[in-house]
Amino acid sequence: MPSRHVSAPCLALVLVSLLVGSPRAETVLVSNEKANTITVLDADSLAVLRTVPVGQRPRGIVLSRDAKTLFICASDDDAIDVLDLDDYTLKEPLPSGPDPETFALHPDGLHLYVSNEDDSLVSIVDIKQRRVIGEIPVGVEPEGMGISPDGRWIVNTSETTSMAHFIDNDTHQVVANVLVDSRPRHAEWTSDGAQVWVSAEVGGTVSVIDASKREVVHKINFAIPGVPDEAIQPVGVILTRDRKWAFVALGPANRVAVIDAQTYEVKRYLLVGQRVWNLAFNTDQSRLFTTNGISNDISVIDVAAQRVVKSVPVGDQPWGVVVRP
Amino acid sequence: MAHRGFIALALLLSVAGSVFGAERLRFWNLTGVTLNELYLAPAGTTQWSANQCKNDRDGTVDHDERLTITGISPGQYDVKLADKAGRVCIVQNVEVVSGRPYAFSLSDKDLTNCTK
Repeated sequence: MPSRHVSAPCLALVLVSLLVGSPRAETVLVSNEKANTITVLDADSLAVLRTVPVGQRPRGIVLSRDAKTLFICASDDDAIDVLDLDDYTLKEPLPSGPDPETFALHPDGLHLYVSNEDDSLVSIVDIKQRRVIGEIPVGVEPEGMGISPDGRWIVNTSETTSMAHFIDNDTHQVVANVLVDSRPRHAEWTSDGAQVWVSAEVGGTVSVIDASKREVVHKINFAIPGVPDEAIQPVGVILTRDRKWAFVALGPANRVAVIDAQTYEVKRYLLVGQRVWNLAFNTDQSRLFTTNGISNDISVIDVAAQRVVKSVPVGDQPWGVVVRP
Repeated sequence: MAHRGFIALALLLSVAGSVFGAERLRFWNLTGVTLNELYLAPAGTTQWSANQCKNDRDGTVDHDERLTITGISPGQYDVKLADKAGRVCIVQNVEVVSGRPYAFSLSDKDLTNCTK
């Protein structure tokens, strides 16, 4: 007859489990700019958990430092929606300046830097004070926003001016303008703060900028057999923390380029959904998620194997993606 | 008397709104291609408007870009468009609406009547 007594280690495990609670599963959050929703998926099973109605034309999305809040550029509302990720309710929106498309959260977790495309401005939003505390004039049609890991430097790209603007975060002054190829869309800092990678959608290239010299040290080109050059339109860029690999979303080429981030050699092209724009890793960087705006789905890439493992339907016109730990 | 005053005020606001605050109508290009020509005609006619793409800064409308439409009132229209590759498509009975951020959008699934 089995004993009815519970061993001490086993009891301790049960108690700890009760106190801590079960670990929360990672979730993937996708903004759908035509559907005006956020799709929430389980990052492991890839099941759609819920679809949350938000403001009009949600595009750029950013997680708060504690991962409890999702900030959403609601472009047609001229506001930043604030979504509580515990109960999925919208709180009072933040101001943003007109037509916010993309933004970045400062490492202090307290300030958002917003591209206002129509006004050629970067707006600085103080999250606690709930107001715009500064505006920085930049080039025409500002778009990509990247902040150095130490929070000292802001890089904004302006689509029409074809520049990456380096902004001193202490003075809020532009200290350098780096010319890149036509229509720069995204600025991505390496984890060590040494480089900024800037994609050029019309130019079809990625410029690698030395962050201290503020000059382009390498330009990456792409060529895909059977795909016309004009269809290769780089937008989203993401690098692994160890800076070994970079992944670049190539828009209507429907491919993600895999690049050796040390040699800048393009190793392969992964076929994903239609018009791939934005990218996000899961926490351990074993998976990469892509938003595919025309096929209305996301693709899931196995990072180690460098292959696409699945696509999952989301809402109408998926745009931004983040992973919540 | 107060009722007449209210009606007069409403009429005044209506006229002022149409004269001074004409709503901007915008097309949202959700097709996968860049457009360089876009015309509207009242549904069932061939009274095409001027090329609306000329309202854009660079004369083209990229995927996901918005285009301001001029000389058009809300209603039912046929839309003719051409992309940079030379394909010409006509989409019939498109509802152009006011009161929202975009008046109408077109996506690839709407482009079924095309020639090149």
